[in-house]
Amino acid sequence: MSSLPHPKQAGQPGGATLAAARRRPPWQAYLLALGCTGATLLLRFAIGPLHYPAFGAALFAFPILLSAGIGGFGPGVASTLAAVALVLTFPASGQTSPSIAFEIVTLLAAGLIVSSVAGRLKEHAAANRRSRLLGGLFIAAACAIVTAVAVFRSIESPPTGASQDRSILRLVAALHGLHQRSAAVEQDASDFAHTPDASHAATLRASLREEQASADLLGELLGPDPERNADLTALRAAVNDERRRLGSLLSARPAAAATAVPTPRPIELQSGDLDDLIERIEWMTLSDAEERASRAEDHNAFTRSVVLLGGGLASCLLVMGVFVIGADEAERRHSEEGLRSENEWLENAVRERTRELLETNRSLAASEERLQLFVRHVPAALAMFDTEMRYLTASTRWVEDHQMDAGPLRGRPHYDLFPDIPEAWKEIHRRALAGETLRSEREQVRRPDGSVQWLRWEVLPWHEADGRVGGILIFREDITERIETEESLRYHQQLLQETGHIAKVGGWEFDAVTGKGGWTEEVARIHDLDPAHPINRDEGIDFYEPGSRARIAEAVKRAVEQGVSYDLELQIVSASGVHKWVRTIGHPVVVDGRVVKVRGSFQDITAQKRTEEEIRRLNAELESRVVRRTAELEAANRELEAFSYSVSHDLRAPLRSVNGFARVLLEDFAPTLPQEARDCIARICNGASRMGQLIDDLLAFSRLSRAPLTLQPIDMNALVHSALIELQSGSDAARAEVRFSALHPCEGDPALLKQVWTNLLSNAFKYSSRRDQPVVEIGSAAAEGTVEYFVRDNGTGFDMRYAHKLFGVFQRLHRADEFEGTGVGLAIVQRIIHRHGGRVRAVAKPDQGATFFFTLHQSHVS
Amino acid sequence: MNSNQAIEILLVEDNPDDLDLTLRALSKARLSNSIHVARDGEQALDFIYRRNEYAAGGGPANPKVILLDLKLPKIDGLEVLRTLKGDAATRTIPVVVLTSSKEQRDIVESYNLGVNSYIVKPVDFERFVDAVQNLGLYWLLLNQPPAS
Repeated sequence: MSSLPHPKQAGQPGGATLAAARRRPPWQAYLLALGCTGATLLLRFAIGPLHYPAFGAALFAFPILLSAGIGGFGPGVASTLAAVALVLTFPASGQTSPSIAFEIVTLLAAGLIVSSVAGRLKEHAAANRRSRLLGGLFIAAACAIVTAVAVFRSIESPPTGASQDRSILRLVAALHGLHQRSAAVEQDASDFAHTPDASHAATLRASLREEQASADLLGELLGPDPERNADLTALRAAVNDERRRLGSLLSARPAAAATAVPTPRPIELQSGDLDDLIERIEWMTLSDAEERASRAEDHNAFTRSVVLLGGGLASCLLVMGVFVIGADEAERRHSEEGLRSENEWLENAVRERTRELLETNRSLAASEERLQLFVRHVPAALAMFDTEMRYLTASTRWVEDHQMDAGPLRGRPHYDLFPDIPEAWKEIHRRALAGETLRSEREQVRRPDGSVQWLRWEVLPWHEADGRVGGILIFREDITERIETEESLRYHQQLLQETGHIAKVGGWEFDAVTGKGGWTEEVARIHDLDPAHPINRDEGIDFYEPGSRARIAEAVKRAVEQGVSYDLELQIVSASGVHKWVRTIGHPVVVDGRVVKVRGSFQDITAQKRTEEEIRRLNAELESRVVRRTAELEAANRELEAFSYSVSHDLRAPLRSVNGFARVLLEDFAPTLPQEARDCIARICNGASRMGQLIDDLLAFSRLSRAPLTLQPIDMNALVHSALIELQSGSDAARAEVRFSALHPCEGDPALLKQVWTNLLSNAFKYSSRRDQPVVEIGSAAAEGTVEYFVRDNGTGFDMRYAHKLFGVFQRLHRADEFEGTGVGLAIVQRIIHRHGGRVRAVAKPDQGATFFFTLHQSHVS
Repeated sequence: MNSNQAIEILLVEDNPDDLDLTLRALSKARLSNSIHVARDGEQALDFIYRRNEYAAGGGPANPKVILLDLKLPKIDGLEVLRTLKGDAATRTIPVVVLTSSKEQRDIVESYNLGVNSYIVKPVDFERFVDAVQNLGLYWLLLNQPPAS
């Protein structure tokens, strides 16, 4: 959490030193323990005989305490054992066995207790330097107190005044006791001498033991006083002599040895000896004041020496303490810098951490709220469960996906809500609860409606602060759309590639600066190169034919330098030497005003070029053929024109001569001519006139083929009206009833179409003229862009067998004496309608009228 | 021929049959007194401009009307028309094309050159006579030419 670097990590050398300095080598503590114990022994010898044996134990308490205090349990025990060994090995002068035992027991008990307590203290204090120092000081203080107590006890203890008197009384009593015991021993010894049986032997032994005890008590009371000791020694020597004598006495009575241990004769204190002893005791008791003063002075000297020694010891302890503390100080100084920096870092870290914790605490509640909010609005299905698969939270998407009601979710068991969960899922949940993380990147499932759904899911355990699995998280995402998009993309890429292959087109690009580039497989294929073949700009340009190379190089240069696109059709020579036509399109890619790349497309257009050339060749051929045909047609037209021109001019002139002079003959010579001749002349005139009419119609028909067609929208009603008006002057038309319904408009040449109507209507009037009620009907019907017009009459009609002749030039179905006409009118109608792209037909029956139909294109303008 | 008289009609016709029939029609309408006939275009122009055989005649002879056939030897009718209508001195002389041709081409060209009337000779003699008489009457009696 903290961003502060740890000084150790920063490589500060003080760290290792510090850690090493904290651990004192154990052998030092043990050495100190043994040394102190030895020193204490020396001290004890220096002090001399002690009035109380407990002092010995007390003295040895110092090194034990010190060792335990500094070194802990191990050195404390070591010191204790050393002290015991030393006490055993070097007992103090005048020490009795019980005294030694007492001292050892005390030492052992006290030493073990102190060591274990100090060990425990040390353990607790190990992490805390101050506690350790306090512990050390406490021990030092304890040592000082014990020392002081010991010193004061030592000062107090010497027999001075009343207590000394009480000692003397006890001594006297002991002396008396000894004396009585000795007398009893004397008595029993003499009894045993008389009657050496077992009972007397037992009595004597008991007396001897009592005497010995008294002697011991006396010895004890006499203490270490050298003078008294000397007396006692003498006394003891006497007693021992006596004992030896008694022993020999007892051993001289082997009869009693079976049941009695031969007992030496007890000390035989001569009355003189005893008196002397008593006197000496009395002397001790009754010594004069000077003597007392001298003794007191001696005693003071002893006290001083004890105080000095005690002080020395305390000083020694203090020095040791100081040494210990000093050593620690040295260590601390040694690692002061490291400590300080570490402390600073620690403080900063602590501050930082504290701040973070405070911050964390403050935002924890809000964070929890936000987390809930976040989870709810995660755009995926997400749910959090505890170890019993009870809901903790879930995203809205999860709730929607599972079609759960909107009620509170927390605490509701998942398996109760969805009893049909497959066992496989439960197994996954179990594994996750056991600490495993399971996931699937894409899994296909079928929706209830049968459609396929793709899921990505992950089930993972979440952990409590102490590391236990607190439950699981289930994350599920619907990736159907993504998968479908990917598949679609893949499909389209494939399609593109296939299309490129079919169309022989691909893409390329190169870097504007380095010229390095790449191209698609198809481009490589067009070059007859392996798709993996690396390519660059210059190598690409080298594939062009010499004629094309300059153009592509210039185009590429302009693209790179001026950002100009190009689209060129050029020729290349592929890697396998095939000449190909290609179309290459290049577009510069401009970033920040600089061309960084040029990319474009590349297509093999060889086949296209070939086709184009073929088409061009065919076109040229066709054109020349058209020109030739046109010339031929034009020539034919010119001939036709010349023909019709000469017909117009020259063919009619002779007719006119025939007609004119026949008429002159009639006019000038009619009276001289017989009637038959006049009839002949009249026929000549009619024939010439009719010939003139034929020529006129024929020329009109010929003109139709040559006149240009001027197409325009036509109002057929108006056109028909104008044609009718022109025809009405004829008598046939005047008689007829014209039934006229509104006609559809159409597109055509008005002049020509008027000719059509004129011809058809005049025919209709003509052929219905013999009816009493001639009726001519005009109408139209439109369908699919075409208008069909009709003209119906109730005239003579015709036989449909001859319908095919109807529209031929000069073809007639009626004789000229029945109905006038040259047989050109319907031919003209058909020619005009055909030129408009329409059709003409007729439906008729003899004497039942005829209907002529013709179609035209409907006008685009309504 | 009475070439010294004031000529009212110049008839330009190469076909002798047509010429006879035309003259006959004109005489029937009593218009044959002052007719001059030219048999081709060159003669017609010579007559108008007093050239060659007509050189002795003095100034330009301006007839009241010229009846002009189109199909003529040497210089055809349209060329004659173009010459006359292109000359300010002869532009005002009424020219009537009297021809067999119904060709639209001829009609349009004639009018473009400034012809005053275009008559197609009918095959039927009676109608031909009617037509000649009508145009003679119209141009000689009814039409008022500008003073020359």
